[in-house]
Amino acid sequence: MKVFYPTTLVIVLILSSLFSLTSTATTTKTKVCDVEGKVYIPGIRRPEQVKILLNGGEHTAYTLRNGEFKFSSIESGVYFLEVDSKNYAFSPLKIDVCTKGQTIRAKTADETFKTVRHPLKLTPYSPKVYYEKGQPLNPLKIFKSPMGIMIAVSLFSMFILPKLSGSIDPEELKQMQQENGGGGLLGKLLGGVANPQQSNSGR
Amino acid sequence: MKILFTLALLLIFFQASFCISTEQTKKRVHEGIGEIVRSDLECGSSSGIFVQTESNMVALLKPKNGEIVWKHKFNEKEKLITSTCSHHSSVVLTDRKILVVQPNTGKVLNEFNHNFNTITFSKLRTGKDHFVVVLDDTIQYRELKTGNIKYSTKYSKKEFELASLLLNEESNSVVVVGINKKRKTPEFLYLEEQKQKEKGKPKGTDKEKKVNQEPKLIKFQVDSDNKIKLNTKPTLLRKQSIVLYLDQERTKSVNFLDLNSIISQGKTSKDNNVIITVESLPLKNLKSGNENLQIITSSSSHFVVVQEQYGQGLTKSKAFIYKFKKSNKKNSIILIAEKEYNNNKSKNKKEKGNGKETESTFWFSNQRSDSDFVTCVQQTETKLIITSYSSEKTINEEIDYFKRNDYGKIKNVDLLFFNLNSKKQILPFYLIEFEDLSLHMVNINQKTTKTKNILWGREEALTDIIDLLIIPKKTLNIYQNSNENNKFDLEKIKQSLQIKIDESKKKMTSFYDKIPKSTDEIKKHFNLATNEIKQTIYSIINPSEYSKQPGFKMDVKKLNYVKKNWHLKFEDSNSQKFDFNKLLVIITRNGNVYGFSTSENQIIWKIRLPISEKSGSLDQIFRINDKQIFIIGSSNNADLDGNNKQSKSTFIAMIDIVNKEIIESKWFEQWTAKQAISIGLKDDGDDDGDDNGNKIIRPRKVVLILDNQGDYHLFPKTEYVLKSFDLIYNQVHFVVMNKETNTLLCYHFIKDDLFKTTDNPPKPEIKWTKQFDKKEEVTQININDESQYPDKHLNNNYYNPYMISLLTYNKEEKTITVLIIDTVSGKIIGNVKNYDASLPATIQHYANKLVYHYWGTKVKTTVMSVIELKANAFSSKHYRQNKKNILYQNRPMVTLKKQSYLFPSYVNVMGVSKSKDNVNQKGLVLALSTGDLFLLSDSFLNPERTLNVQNAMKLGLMPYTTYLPHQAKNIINDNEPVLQVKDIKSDHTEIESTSFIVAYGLDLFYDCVTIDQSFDKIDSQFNFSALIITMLVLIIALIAMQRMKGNKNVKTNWN
Repeated sequence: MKVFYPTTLVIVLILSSLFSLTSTATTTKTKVCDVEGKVYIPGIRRPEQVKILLNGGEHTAYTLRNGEFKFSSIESGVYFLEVDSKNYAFSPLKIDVCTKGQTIRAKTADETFKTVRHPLKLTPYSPKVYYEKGQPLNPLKIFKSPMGIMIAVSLFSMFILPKLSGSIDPEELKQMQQENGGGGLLGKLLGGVANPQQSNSGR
Repeated sequence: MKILFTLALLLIFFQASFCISTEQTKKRVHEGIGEIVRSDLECGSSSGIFVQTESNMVALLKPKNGEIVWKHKFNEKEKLITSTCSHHSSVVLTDRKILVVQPNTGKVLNEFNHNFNTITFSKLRTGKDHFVVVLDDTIQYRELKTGNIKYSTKYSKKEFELASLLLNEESNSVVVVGINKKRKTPEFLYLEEQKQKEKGKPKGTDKEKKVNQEPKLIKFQVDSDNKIKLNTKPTLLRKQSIVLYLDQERTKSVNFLDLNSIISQGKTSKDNNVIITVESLPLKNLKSGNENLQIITSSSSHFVVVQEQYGQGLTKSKAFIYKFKKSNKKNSIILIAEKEYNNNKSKNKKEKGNGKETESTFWFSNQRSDSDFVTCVQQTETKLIITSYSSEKTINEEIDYFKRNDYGKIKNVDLLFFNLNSKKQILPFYLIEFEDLSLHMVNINQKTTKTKNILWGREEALTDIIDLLIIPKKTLNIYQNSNENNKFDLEKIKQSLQIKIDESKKKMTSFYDKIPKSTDEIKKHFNLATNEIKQTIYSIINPSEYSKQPGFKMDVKKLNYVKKNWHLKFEDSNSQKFDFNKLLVIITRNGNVYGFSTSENQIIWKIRLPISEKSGSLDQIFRINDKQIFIIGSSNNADLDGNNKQSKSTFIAMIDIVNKEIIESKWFEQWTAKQAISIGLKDDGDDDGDDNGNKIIRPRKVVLILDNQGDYHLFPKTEYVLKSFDLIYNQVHFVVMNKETNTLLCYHFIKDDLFKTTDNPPKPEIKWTKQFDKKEEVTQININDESQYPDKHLNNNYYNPYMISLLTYNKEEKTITVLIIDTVSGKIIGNVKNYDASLPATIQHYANKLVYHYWGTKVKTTVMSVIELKANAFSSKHYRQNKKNILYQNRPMVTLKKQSYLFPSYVNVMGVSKSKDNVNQKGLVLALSTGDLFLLSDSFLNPERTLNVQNAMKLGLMPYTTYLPHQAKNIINDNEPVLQVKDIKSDHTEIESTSFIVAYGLDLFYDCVTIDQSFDKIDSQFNFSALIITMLVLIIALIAMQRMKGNKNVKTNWN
């Protein structure tokens, strides 16, 4: 008569359960989902054809005439979606493709973190501007600029400064010239004397 | 007062003159398509040239000028299998999906995934509203609009082995050619659409499974008694409905199957299985032996059979052209004529006849089998001989432009018919692709001058760039002026004219450069020139006048006048002065060296190196001085790591880029190059002269090659180089990566006896090694450019010219590690591990910063990181004591500061800008997956950036943001995509603020960029109108003052 060992039964059970686990693991297929969407460009009925890239070109799709696009049978996971448009700037998206159930969730992959519903509605946030526009002529800016200040100073020294010096009492003017000693540029300008010795001799 | 005004004016002029014009070199993209795999001519309504290329892309070229109309590049992960184009539509099949493309615009009309599990054999043929896909067991008719299966016919895989597919577009019928596996005899499946039945049917449903009325399938096999085998690919003569195939084993005959009779038999047959007897015609001259026979092309009147013989290292091929006629009475074929062509592909030339032009290759072509042309293009050493056979006549033309030394052998020939000028006349053109990947459109039937033979040429070699050098044109012109005039070569002018005649006038600048300055010289050369050249030159100078005058008068004065004006008009003085224009010296894998002028946006010279004899390839290019470059190549596709065991020999070449000639080219059989570096020599400032008084330009740099035997070689091998190396050998540290053992080795040079300086060359020795784990794949080694940075520590910034940075990738752990190693001591200065990371990743090392990017697998965005190296001066006493004399033993401790950012785009490659004195802000050029080149200022990558706005403002930094800015104005290539970028290189210009950038891959792009608009450059905000107004106001004030000086009041006030 054969003796039945309970330990062997346990081992067999464990092994069989392990086997079943591994077999299920190998037989389970990876989930696949379709990612769909449409590119809208405000004010344009038939938008330009753009290329949509997943993970930098791992999957690519082109928009059709009506702006729709579709990625078929995309394995579950998180993807990075980019819109390759030459005229419009789109926010890239981070897409969660059926990692939880059959749902596809998407968020903008920049600072905005906006949630985008599936099917994805992609709208540009701005037209692409490659060139900086030259600034129009602004008189205020001219006067704020160093050149404007130069004009102002030179005009002041030409027209207003002589009048200011004319209104000063002659004695006060002489005193000012003495104090400045005729050495500084301002002194020369105020006194209008090129040689300080001349001013000394005049005293 | 006057002094004040003049001072003010001077100040303004000084400010204005300090700023340079904002005009620079224009951004230019040289678009490429690559090596053609297959082509469909007459695509779309404009008869475009539809090409599928090796670089996984399809494109449409304009037949008139070869310009790219559109192109679709597929990712490397999506493999392009086949494509086809007709007048109505083009269909592209990849391993994932089928794309239906509008042939004129390139717009994808429809794309859908397919479920072909195995595409062992697949062909596409487009009809008007459908296309046919033939798999190894199914023939599918798919609708163009939806991609749904219209009809589907299955055949037994066990019985029928697919060989070829022929399509008769006129009757929408398909002939599938195969071999009956049991009988080993040819079998044909003939499918004809049931048009009448289709009309009564309701419109097809969207589901693929429901298939409409199947086309009638007639299965027919040749008479089993005949025992004919199908060894070669058959051809279909469409207009005559004849299938033509060759049986080579038994009968050495050509067999003809009349499809009309098969159809009539099939209609009467009940089981749709017809056994027919073929008409067989024995072919003369086809001898038995080790040979392979094939019908390569046919027309309505000719067919060509190629016989290849294999021997010991010798491949001989012969071509026989047969002219035939369908006899009305017996319905049989009559052989009219045959001609033999020989083609020796052997290495050893066998002289025949007179010994002139002995070696020749031939190529037959005919795309449209209903046309009346079969063309043979023969290539000799110096010319092409094109012979066209039609039912009526034979046209023979010789073109002596295509020298085999310049272009290599012919790769492919296609025949194209299109209207060039007149609407009525359709001309045959030949699309010829050569070994150097250049594509040319050639015509022989035009009744004009021979120069009109070549309609256009595309240099596709630029898609195969291995390495390139950026050479300032400014320095190059110094030598050009002295040498070019002495070597005024009429042949060269003729060649350049032939290409340039139909191009824009701007591109003609180089031609005028070559014309000598003095009138006597011009006279002399024009006397030597043929009338043809004279006429061409004259036509360029004044095309309107030339058209009026049938005769020719060469006016030397006029030529000089035009030359002067030309320079005034087109010479960009600023570009010359500030060195914005460069010469790119490019090496390609297939052995070509090109000089590409950025000012002219085209290849201006090319040199073919003799590497094809050993099936070698070029690997690296170095600059020796302003005149000479050095090139290293290898045989058997061995890379420079020396890991390929098949590698046997190393190729070196020295080229004079001013005179465009090879100084030296040599194969070294004894050793294989492991690694090569360029070392700068100490400049003694003396350039000696030779016996004739000519200036000798000494090498500024030498190339040091370490071979697999542990020995080293210095090039160029001169006494001066050896002496100079003797002075600097102890500073040289040679880092080599051995991929087999995954080890990094550093060699340095020592001498056995230091006192014996002469006749005792230094020997390389391993100084240190770094063993990496097998899982760690070293993807990039970035060596600091020692010439750029000082060996000093300024403001606590750690500068080390002998430092390398490595980027390793661990696929299993998904980590990217950055290692910073001091090459002298072998010490690891820094080790940064990044988790959840994958390739693509690039590292760039400049100043005391390391910038790298990788793809974040968790964040699903590109992560950009910066590591700043700071010298921890207080930690080392030695350093404080020996600040002036820094030794490696007492280098300061290094502190690493790291910061990471997210960049919302997929980055493939990164490059860094160079400026003349390294004062200007650095710029990082990022090649994005969308084809954009994004310029990112270095100021965004600073580990000191803090979240606290006030603190950041105090430090003069930008506050920290997780995302780096991504604005369109920073895209330097604007809306012209640059695809598949392999590398980005940079060079400085004469202006500190401006850097020259080159990005190459499938396309070539170059431009001058200004990162922060400062120093010597007017910024974009500069207002020129404000400057003018200021000037005007000051002038008016000056005039007013002049008048006011007579006023007494003013005088008294001033005095």
